[in-house]
Amino acid sequence: MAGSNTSGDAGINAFAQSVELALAQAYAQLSNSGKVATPDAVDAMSAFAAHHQEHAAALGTLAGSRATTTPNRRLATMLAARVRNAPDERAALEVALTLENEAASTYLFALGSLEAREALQLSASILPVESQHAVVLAVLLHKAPGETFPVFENQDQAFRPDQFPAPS
Amino acid sequence: MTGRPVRKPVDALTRRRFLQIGGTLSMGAVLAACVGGGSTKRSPDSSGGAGGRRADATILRTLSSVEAVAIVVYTTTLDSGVLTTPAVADLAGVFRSHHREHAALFEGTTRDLGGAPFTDPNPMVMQQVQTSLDGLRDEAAAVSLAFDVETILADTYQSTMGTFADKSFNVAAMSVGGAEARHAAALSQALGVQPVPQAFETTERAVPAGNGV
Repeated sequence: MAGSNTSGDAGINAFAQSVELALAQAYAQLSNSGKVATPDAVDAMSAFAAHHQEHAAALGTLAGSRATTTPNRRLATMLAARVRNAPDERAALEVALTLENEAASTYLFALGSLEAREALQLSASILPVESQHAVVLAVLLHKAPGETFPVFENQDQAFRPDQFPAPS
Repeated sequence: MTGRPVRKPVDALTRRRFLQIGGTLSMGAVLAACVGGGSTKRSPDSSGGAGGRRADATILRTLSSVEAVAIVVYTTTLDSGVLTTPAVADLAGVFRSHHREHAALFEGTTRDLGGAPFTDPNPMVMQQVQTSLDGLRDEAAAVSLAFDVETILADTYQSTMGTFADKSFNVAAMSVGGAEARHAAALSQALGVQPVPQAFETTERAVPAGNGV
């Protein structure tokens, strides 16, 4: 039913919201770890964390009664371990790069199931931002173009709700 | 042996290939099943009938037309010799190759839907960029023009969401839209401009489906 929010869409938006909250939490952990010190990297961490909070808020609005204030627990646990295991700034930026690519992949995954135009357009307005975060981080890491610019975005790295269930 | 002609690679870029971009068929059902609601099954004909296929073909013609603009812009820029920084010239070459793949995909899928592929640069967009293209004097101007074009493309893909009769096209379209957004981010960095200034992308510069094609 185009143009309205379906119950399936609400669940998908709630899942995506829980993912965004987990990403914002991971950035907070990266910032607080003291491992990221280069000014450009610090600025990126701060800006991207704020973006993820904004994404979570917008997704929560569309999720309606299924909205959550809790980061996706299993994902948050996995990301916290990645942050903890990153020994230095380069590794910390790699953690951020990976999670941004995973986030972009997750929105592509969601677009395969969303039905309402409003929900489709919201996910489609977030996906490119996650992709652009990945580019900024890849540049900070001096990654080769082949690692940074796929011909097509794909779903291979998506966080999936069967692996990372949304909080109920 | 019958001497049957070998299919060219571009012929393989069919509607099936379009649907395979991003793994639409397998993954969408998984998500719907996990979060509840929606449908986990595709209807026998998800294309919206003949009218839907025609409408989708118009969108795809628009997409191939804007990809053709990008190809022209990068080719002109590369041939002009204004890209003096090797890394920038390399990126331009990579991005042009992406746009060629994108254009071929949309042209092939248009054909599969029974439409006539649009292979020329979109005349309305060309009108917007022609003056800049004719007056390219230095690398900064070329990168700025490329950034404009990538932004138009990214906005155009985003604007198609919710407009396809065949909803499975959403994933394929944004798999390209995300790639264009990456191009734009890299070019804005080369220009010294904030690459991700806001939390949400807009569709302000999108080319409406059917315009110029």
